[in-house]
This record gives sequence, structure tokens and C-alpha cells, in this order.
Amino acid sequence: MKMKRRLALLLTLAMGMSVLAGCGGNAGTGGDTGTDGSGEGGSTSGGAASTEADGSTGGDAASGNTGSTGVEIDFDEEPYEATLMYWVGNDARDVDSVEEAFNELTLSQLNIKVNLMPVTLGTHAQQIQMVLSSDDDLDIFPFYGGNMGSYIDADYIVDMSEYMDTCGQDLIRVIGAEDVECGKMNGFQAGVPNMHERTNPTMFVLRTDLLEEAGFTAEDIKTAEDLTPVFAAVKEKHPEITIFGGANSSSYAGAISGALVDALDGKNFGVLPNMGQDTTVVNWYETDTFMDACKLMHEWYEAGYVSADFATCTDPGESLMRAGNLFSFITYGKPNSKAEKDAMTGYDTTCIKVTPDVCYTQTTNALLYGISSNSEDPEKAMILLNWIYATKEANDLLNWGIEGKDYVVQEDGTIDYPEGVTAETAGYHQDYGWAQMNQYNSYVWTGNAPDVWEQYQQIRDGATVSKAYGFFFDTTPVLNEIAALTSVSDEYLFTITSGSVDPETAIAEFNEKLYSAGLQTVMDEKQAQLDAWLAEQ
Amino acid sequence: MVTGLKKNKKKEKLTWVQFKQYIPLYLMLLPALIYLFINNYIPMTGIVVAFKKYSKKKGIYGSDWNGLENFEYLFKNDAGLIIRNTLLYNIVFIVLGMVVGVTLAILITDVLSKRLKKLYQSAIMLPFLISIVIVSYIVFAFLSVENGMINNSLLKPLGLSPVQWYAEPKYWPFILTFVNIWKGCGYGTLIYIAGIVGIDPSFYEAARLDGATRWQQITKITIPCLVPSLITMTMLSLGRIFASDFGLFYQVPQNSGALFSVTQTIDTYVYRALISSGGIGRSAAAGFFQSVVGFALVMGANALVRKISRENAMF
Repeated sequence: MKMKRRLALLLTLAMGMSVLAGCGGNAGTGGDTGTDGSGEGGSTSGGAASTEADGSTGGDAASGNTGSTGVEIDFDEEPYEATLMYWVGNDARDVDSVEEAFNELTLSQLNIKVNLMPVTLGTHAQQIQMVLSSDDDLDIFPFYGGNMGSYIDADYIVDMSEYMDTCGQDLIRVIGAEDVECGKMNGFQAGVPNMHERTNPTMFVLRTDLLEEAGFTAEDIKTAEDLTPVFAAVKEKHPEITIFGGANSSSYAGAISGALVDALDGKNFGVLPNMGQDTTVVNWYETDTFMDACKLMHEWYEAGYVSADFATCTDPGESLMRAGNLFSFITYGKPNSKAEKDAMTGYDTTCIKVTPDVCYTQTTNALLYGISSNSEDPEKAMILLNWIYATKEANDLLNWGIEGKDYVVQEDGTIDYPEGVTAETAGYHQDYGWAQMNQYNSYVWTGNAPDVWEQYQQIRDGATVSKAYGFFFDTTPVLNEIAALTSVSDEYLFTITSGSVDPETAIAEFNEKLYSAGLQTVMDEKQAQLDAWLAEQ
Repeated sequence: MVTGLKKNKKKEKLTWVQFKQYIPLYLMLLPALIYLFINNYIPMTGIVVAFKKYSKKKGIYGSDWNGLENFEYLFKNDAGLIIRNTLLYNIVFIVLGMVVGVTLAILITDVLSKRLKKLYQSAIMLPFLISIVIVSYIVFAFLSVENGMINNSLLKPLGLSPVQWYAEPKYWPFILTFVNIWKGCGYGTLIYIAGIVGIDPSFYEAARLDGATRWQQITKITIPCLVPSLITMTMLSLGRIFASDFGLFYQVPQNSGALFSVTQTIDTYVYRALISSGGIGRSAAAGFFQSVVGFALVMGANALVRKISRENAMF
């Protein structure tokens, strides 16, 4: 009988041990939370890009030539083996054929053998920190500009500036010297921006059928305030649907911080007001602009236009609208927004831009491609990266797969699936140009304007440029304050911007908490770094 | 079992002859020991990274020391509140988990039908196997302001005004405790059932002959016999008292900012802080801090148990 008791105890212990084992496992992932954490953190600043599944790519015939590298290539030596990590939309079945075709090009032109490593955003978020801190093969990899500081700090990346003059000339030509600067921090060229859009204006996406039914047209709406009567009219006709919603980060009061002020590091703890035209750092949450936007949200919320669950909602507006439950949401505007949102929501949409186009560093460097310090020969990696930006075939391969098999060129120059191939059956089809290296220099998918990249370029050229364009705040000296501020901001921000609380009192309390968490220290440090940078220019 | 070993050791010293008998058993133990050493002991040296400014080039051991800088952010912001939440929730979970677990175990062992016993046992165990992310959506289905079951099917018909569940901190200590017990009690129950099954039936027979009621049997036999299991379980949970179930405090409240005053624990704070800046040193510092406190608590609790009832102490 005693035996039985012992057995019971043994079982207790054994199960206990498994709890402990579980703890051990947890402790392991505890370290990793930082990993996907930093990934996600980055994606907030890269949120602009990640909200869009770009339904487009295209060939800018003018820049469709193969680039030349500035250095002599020795074809007699053993080819260098490079690992290229890049973002994709899905785990394609047929990466091998693409890799083979890609290597045909690189071996004959650069004497480099490339191992392709396509990763989805989710996989990237989980794995990048591990790959970087291990000794895995990795030459070129994508990352979020917001992580520049911590990557430099931990020696994860190679300073590209020393190779820029010798083998990065095409990068400067393609991206533009001014934009390349955005991948720099304290003189350290951490990466080069990919060719996504350079401005993030706030844009309302409305369902056209309901808008017209309510008796309004796009011309009636110039600012967010103009939407109030529209919302009222739609609400009256359709009380069953949510008038304004989407993910909590896409509140009007939240989105305009990416459009009307220069956050300098995407975190809004100290910003340059007036579209970055003033160079004095102020507290964004104390500005009238923020207060007015929150009041508008509060007005909408009180009137029942805003979803009651908005403050905690993480479903994007696109999918809510697709489900038929939503009249409007906010996105970052681009030239082809309408085509994209029509496809994603399944409705005919009206897209209205309510803020001007302005270039900020945080928009341009949202997504960067850099060279890992695991690279055995960073110069070779640089040659490869330079070549990809300049080579149309390379970008077409990475995004669209193999011509004739995964896509065919149509008469107007855009591309489409070949006969009988669909999204499900294609061996390789990413449609993820916005996160890849140079979508401007590749084919345009059917349904988009053939000249869509010229439109992108026009917007970039016509945009207001922040006085601090090219400067990016290095948070390393104030990391503890940033940690505390982030915690405060997480606590208050979405509740306030959702409009569910009275902005007057909530914002005052929010600011008080921010200051006690060290906001002034961060703002002073920001100002000091900015002044030093401005003096150098 | 542990106490039994101790008594044996006192009685007779292990001689070589006896040891030789046990060699096959030691050999069987060896792979597990090696595994434990490689997986759990060697990486422990990595703790040094908590005191360093980590650099990839210099490696973990070559990086520069930076004293306690990595620990600073842990105590930067409302540290008192965060530590209070972590500790109080865990204490409540431990105590309630034990009470509920033992009660259910006693009830289930008294079910006569074997099939029903299995059914109840599995039903209680099921939530333990559900991913916390799914649990968070089950909770959301109840509490959602717009479409939630409680607001729409319960409060509305009763004529009460709907509650903004995800914006009202005062309800959450109860919600979180309920969810945690609902999800976790099956595991404890299983262990206690094993403990109860192991109790010598002759105790009960003798008690019944003496005319003890069912309640007396429970308080005088079942619970005292369960004490060793209870202590072991408590000790194990104490070791984790400074860590919290991340999913429970992050996913279940839908990461709602308005609830932070009652849902922010060390793990969620560290996660949120590191999201913005990352850093191996800081994650290591947080893990180290939790381990040290956990270790101290286990040692302290064990010392206390040893003082009160020596034979029930773990070591």
C-alpha cells in the first residue's frame, strides 16, 4: 500500500518535472519574445507598407536596363555563395526553378551563386533575431528601419557606406541620393530603402454605393470634418453597419501622426510639427492638431459611427468591409489605392486623401535591405544588392516567377497569368513588390495602370520634404525612457484615439504620465541629435 | 518517495556491493543526466549576458560589461504596480487552483460509474489543452461590447445597460482568475486524483467502522494524505510566482490599454518594452531577475515547510 502512495508521489513529481520542463521551454521563448517583438515593433513603423498588399508591379521601360557594377569581376575564381533573404507574400511551391533562373543570371554576370531565402512577414518576425545572432549563412536581408539602432548596437549589420562609392552606384541612381540617406544613422549606412511609396498621406476609403445612396460624392469631402454629415446620412439609412472602423491603429487621430508631423523615428515621442517644416521638437500629444483630431473621433464615437470595440480591434478595415459590416476606414494613400482596395474589399470604393504628400525619413526607411555581419564577403553582397536594384529580370523573378510559366506579358505591357494558371496553381507568384527590392523596375500586374511607377515617382518628386529628411533618431541613449514611454503609450493611446473617452481629460492624464516616464529627456535628446545633424548638412 | 530515501540512507551506508547492483539503473539514468546537463546547465553560463552590452562581433563572453544597466528599465515605470499584479495574481491562482483542484478531485473519485468518471475527468482537462489564443476569442465572444453574449443576451434582456468590458479595469481581476482556473484546474485535478487513488483504502474502512461521516473522512484522511502532493505542487508554482502566463495577460484582455493597471505583469511589461527596442541583454536581465526571485521563494518556502513538518519538505 505504501507502494501506491509512493507511486502517487512519483507521478506528482514526474508531472511536476514536466511543468518545470515547460518552464524551461518558456524561458527560452521568453528570450525570443524580444525577437518577434522587435519584428512587430518594426512593423508599426512599417505599418504603412504592411497594410497594403500591393496589387501591382510594373515595368518602367526607361530604367529597364541591366546595371553595371563599378568593380571588375573575376570570373576565374570560385563563385561566391550568397544567401539572399527577401520578403514574399506566400510560401511558393516552386522556389527551385526561380533560384535556378536567378543563378543563371548572377553566375554569368557577377560570378555569384545565390541561395534564395524567401520569407513571409510572419516567418521573418519570428526568425530574424535568431538568424542574426547565430552564425547562419546570411548576406542580404530585409528589416524595419525602426530596428536600425538596435542592430547597429549589437553589431548585426555591416556599414554599407564604405562600399557605396565602389559598388553601390546603381543603388544611389535608382533610389536617389536623398532617399538613400534615410537608411543611415549616425553616419552608419545600415541599409538601403526598398522601392515602396515615399509618402503616407491619410486616406479615407468609403463604399461608393452607400456614399451615393446617402446623396454625396467624392467632391463634397475635402477634410475629415466634411465626413460628419456623410456619416450621419449613411447611419440613418443603414443603422446595422459600422460607419467607421478597422484596426485600432488606423484611427484618424492616429493616422495623421504619420502624415502631418515628422516623428523622426516613427514613435511620436517628440515630433517636428507642421509637416517637418519647423525644426523644434514638440510633444505631439500636446498639439492642437492631435486634440482636434481626437475630438472629432470622440464626436463620431458618441454619435455611434465608430465601432464600440475599436480600441481593441486588430482586424484590418479591408476585411471588415469585405464582410459587409463597414462603411469606411483609413489607409495610407498611394496612386493605385483604389484598384488595390477594390480588389481587397470586393466593393467599388471611393478613396479620398485628406492630408498632403510629405516625405519623412520614417516612411522611406520603413523597409530596408541591408547586409548581415554573417556575410563572409560584404563587398560581394553589396555587388549583388546593387545589381538586383538595377536589373529588371532579377526583380521580375523574385516577384512574379518565370515568364511563360508563372506569367505572360500582355499587349499593353502589363502581365497576367498564362492560360489555365490561377493564383492557386501558379508555382511562384508573390505580388509583393512593395516589400521587395525594386518594384519600380519590373512588370506591372494586369489591372493597374501601365505607368503606375511613373505616378509613384511623380508623387515623390512633387511631395513636400521634411527639413529633417534623412535624419533618424538613435534611441540607444534613452532606451530605458523609451521602454517606459512605450508602456504608457500602449496604455492610453488607442483608448484616446478611438474616441471612446473624453479627449480633454484623457489627453491631460496621458501627457502627465508621459512626462513622468521621461518624455522631456527623450525630446531633449532628439533635439540635440537633430541639431547636430542639421549643422552637418 | 524522497523521505523514504532519506530514511534508508541514514540506516545503512551504500556499500560498493550494493552500488554494483544499481549500476544498470545508473546507466539508465545517464542519458537523461547528459541531456539535462547539455540543455539546462551549460546554457546557464549565458546568464552573464544580462550584465553585458551585447555585441554580435564580440560574442556573449567577449561583450563589454555594463553593470546593472540592463535591469534599469525593469524598475523604471510603475515597477510597484507591475510586481504587485504579478505576485497577487499568482498567489490567488495558487491558492484557488489548489482548493478547486482538490475539491474536484474528491468529487470525481467519488463518482461510482467508471465511464462517467472518465467523462468528467476529460471534460475538466479539455480547457487545459486549448491554446490561450483561442481562449482569448472565446472570452471575447462573451465580452465583446458590440456582439458579445453577455451584453446582448444577458444584460440587454434584463434591462441593464451594456458594460464596456475591455475598458473597465475593475472586472478584470475576477475575469482573469476565472479564466485561469477554468483553463488550468484540470491539470491539478488529475494529479490530486492520482494522489487520492494512492491512499490506502483500509484507512477509510477503519474510519467507516468507527462511524466517521463522509465529511470527516475527507478532512481526516483524504486531505492529510494529499499534503505531500499539495506541497510539491505549491513549491513548483512558487518557483514561477514571479513569472506570469503571458497569453493570459496579453491575449485574453485583447491587449487593451485601458486595462493595464490590472493586467500589466512583468512578462507583458518586458514584452512591450522590448517590442520598441529589442535587446538580448534586457531580455536576459528580465529572465535572470525572475529566476533569482523564483529560486529565493522556493528555497524560502521549503525552509518554512521543513520547520513546520520536516518529513514533507522537498529537500
